[in-house]
Amino acid sequence: MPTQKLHLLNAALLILATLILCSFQTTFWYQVVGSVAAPMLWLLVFLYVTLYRKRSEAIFINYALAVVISPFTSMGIGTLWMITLFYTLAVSIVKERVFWPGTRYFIAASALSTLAFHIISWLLSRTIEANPIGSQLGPRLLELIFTPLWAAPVYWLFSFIDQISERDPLPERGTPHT
Amino acid sequence: MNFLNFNLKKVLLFICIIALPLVSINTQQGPRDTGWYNKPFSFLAGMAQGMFFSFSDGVRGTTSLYLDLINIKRENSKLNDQNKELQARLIANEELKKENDRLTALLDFKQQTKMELVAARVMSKDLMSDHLTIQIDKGTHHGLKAGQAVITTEGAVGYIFRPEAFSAQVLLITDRYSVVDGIISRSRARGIVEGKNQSTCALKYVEKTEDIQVGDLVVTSGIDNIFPKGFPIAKVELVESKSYSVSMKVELRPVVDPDKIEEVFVIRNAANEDRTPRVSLNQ
Repeated sequence: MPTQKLHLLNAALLILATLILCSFQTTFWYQVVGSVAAPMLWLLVFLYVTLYRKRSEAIFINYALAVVISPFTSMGIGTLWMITLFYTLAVSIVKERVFWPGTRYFIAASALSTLAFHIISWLLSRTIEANPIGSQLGPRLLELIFTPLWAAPVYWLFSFIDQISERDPLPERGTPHT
Repeated sequence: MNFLNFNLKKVLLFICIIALPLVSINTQQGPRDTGWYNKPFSFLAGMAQGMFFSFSDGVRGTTSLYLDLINIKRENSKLNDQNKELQARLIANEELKKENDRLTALLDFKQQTKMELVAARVMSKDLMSDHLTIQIDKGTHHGLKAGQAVITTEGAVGYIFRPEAFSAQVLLITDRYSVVDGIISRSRARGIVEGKNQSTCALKYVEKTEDIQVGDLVVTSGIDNIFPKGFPIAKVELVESKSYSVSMKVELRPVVDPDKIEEVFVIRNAANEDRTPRVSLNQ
């Protein structure tokens, strides 16, 4: 298959998987488990993109994915993009220093990146919003626990998508991306 | 001397062989009598038979018990399945009864009120835990517009924030961006109900001279043209009056638990409905 078509296929599958994961998180989890904090599956998608794409490409894809997930939240697209930018930069800086391909790294990174997301969104909310978000330690802690539990299946799913759409091999350990 | 030239020993043995059964038939006194020569064998045979009988009885008993156990196990498993099925049906029936009660209450409410309402079901919640919205299964196709009030029979839930064709996002009154004009039902003190976190709101801009007590009911004022007048919003949970502040700090707990909403009504037209008297009487 031509490279352009493979790229399109990869993008389409990425969007489809993101939509399915977001629906699972907001609807299925809510209907079955109830009001207990859900795992942040959408964040795992952003993490995968940041870890397994070049930095500039990752920022662009994550911006596009922010548009895809925006119907699932009342958060404004501007705030969402701002958080996405800081999150992608933070994760890629860590990736440049410590990286090895595999599920274990992804699970560990998911825990750290969930924590990073909460810190970034809290700081940004304090800086730019008139009504900043509260601490809400309970739900945040649950998200911090639940999200890494789902990291492995999400990693396998996106690895599979990359495999069938013949994406480039994973970057080497600690290789800087420009 | 042997005149006929035959073996006398063989002849005698042959006569004995023939004579023995004939003699024993003739000496047999009755059909049930056992001869003396038979008694030890009968005894031994009886013992052996008894042993084998006991053994075979044991085997048969064990086999039968095993087979019975298999049957019992099968029957037990069948009964367990039946029991589980009946329990599941019972739970389903209880759920149906609860749903029926809920829907009956909603129907009664809809029939009693003058307001034009659209019933909707809650589909999902917000992707971000910091944003408190729910998604309902009705949208612009059903006549919904941004800013329309969303209620349950117990009280205010929020208002339509982002309507789509077949669904709509509802901003809950607990969201930090939600504002509803409210009054204390008992003292008529006014303020703005602002969302705070998942389970609390705050009544803001209330003058320190106002009479507010813990347990007071906050109802909609109707001024914002979103909610009908006198609809319950929350109950006062904390009142603090600080010397340096112009207004009081009032914390509220919503009357409707946002986490337990399943069905809601969207008010398409409030028809100037004023629910103040009923609320006051309920107090």
